[in-house]
Amino acid sequence: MTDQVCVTAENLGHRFPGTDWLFSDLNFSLNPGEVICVTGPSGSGKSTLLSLLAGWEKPTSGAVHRTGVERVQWVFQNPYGVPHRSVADHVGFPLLQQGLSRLDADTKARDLLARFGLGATADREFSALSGGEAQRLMLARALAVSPDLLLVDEPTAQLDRVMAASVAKTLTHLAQEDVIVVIASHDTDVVSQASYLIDLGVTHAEVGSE
Amino acid sequence: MRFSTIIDEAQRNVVSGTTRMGVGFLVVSALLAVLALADLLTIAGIQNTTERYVASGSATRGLVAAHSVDATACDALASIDTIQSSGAMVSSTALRFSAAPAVSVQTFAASPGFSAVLDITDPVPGGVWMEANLAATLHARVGDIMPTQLGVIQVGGIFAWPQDGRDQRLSFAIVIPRLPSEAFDECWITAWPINDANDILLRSTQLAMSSPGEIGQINTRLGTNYDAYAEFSMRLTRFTPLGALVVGLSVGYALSRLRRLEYASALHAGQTRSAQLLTCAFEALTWSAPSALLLIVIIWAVTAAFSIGETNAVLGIVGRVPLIGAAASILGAMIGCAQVRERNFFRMFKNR
Ligand SMILES: Nc1ncnc2c1ncn2[C@@H]1O[C@H](COP(=O)(O)OP(=O)(O)O)[C@@H](O)[C@H]1O
Ligand SMILES: [Mg+2]
Repeated sequence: MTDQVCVTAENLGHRFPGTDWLFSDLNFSLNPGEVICVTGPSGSGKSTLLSLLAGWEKPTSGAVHRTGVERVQWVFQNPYGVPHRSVADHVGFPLLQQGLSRLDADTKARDLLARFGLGATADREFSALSGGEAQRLMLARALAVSPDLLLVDEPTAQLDRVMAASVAKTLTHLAQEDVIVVIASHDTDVVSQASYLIDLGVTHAEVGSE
Repeated sequence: MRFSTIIDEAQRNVVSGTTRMGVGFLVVSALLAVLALADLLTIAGIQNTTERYVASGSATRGLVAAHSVDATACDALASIDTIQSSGAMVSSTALRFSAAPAVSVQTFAASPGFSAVLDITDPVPGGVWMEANLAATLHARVGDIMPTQLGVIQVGGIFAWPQDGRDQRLSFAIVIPRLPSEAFDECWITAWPINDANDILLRSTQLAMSSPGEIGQINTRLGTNYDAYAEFSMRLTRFTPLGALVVGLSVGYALSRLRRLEYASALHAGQTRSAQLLTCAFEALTWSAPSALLLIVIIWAVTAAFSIGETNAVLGIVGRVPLIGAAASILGAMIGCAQVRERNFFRMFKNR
């Protein structure tokens, strides 16, 4: 049971010095194959919760237990790439680090790109991609690392509705990868496809209406 | 990561312009060139000063001991490495030219080595050595045969003896070579670099030590203690290798800092630090090595073209600037790269 990949939040709460509690008493357990959506309005602490799950920030209260998690990948709201390197090179890079030959890495990279609808862009420079393409490229690159935990921050914020829907669909397919996927988003498409919802707006709803 | 992959990645970064090879090459070359040329100019300046000092007779010393200088021993001193020329002389009877009988010209007799002290190259054998102003007055040229009240003489060589503070006895004078069979009055040596032992050597040419002769510098106007070696070793530009270190470290570091997001992202993508540092070093090598090569060629060409010192020696001194600069560039790039943390990636994005 212990070597099973699992991320557990126990009475998790966080506040920054001088701010109110963003959230508190969160208890949940995340397993591979699940797509979890963290939702809530801007400033509600979605990115902060992701960084706690990654272990990049210490929670103010409670704890995050990561079992069997070796590789964490983070896909940011603003895609980052090397402007003049090719799209295929971006996805091939993590594979090369794993010891693959250039040929094998390139083949696998093109497969991954095709899954994100980027097959035709493989030989372009990163700087030639649109925001949506770059966002999907980041997802393909993150998957090339074979992460146990994939954190995706506002993946559809930069995209038009059609593209957003397509990315949302791709993200839910990631569940089949045996990856714990946590997506911070208030996009209804993403929310509706999630297998699990953490609504940071709701935890504070006690202050608000309804 | 395979070694061949590291090379391949570095190459792709270079070709794609990610390395900014041109920027690195131009900036580091320009800055190092300034340092190297500054040192070259300084060294050339010291050499120039030294040459003027030696040419003025400031490096020439004479022992005066009437009728007791061994001219053969004096001539032999020139065979010592640090003594460039030596020769004995004694004043002789005045001379009148048939063309200008009113003018009495002072003459000196000198041992064969004295022509070198006068800086005469290839004197005509059997000819006399004429001071340049006198030659100009008489319209005399090397090889000319001129009648005098003592018979015909041939101009075997002309030497410059400007009025720049040097012993003026040789001004407007004629020096007649004489075999060193008898004792002379004076022994002169031109020695560079200046060495206190030279005076001891000079004294060794005196035959009778009953009354020690006087030793003096032929020209004291430029000072009696110009120390070119001290000038060289205390020159400000001796710090240029240190400057090259700073330049290389800064340029390499700056170029890596520009890429810190890329490096953080690469770490996040699973690249090991050692693979990253090696890639970074190879990329820095692609602009720092050509820069060093180019600068060494430039330094060599400038040194040779303007005959600054001994080319190899100067190259050995000034060439440290491009070499240290190139090595420091690679080191600086690696330091800049090593400072990047994977968590920087996350921080950078959270703050965007
Ligand atoms: N390092 C920090 N120090 C102080 N306040 C922070 C810090 N990081 C985020 N915050 C604040 O915490 C709140 C939640 O931020 P964030 O997690 O980015 O929200 P979301 O991703 O839901 O928009 C915001 O009000 C933000 O200003
Ligand atoms: Mg956020």
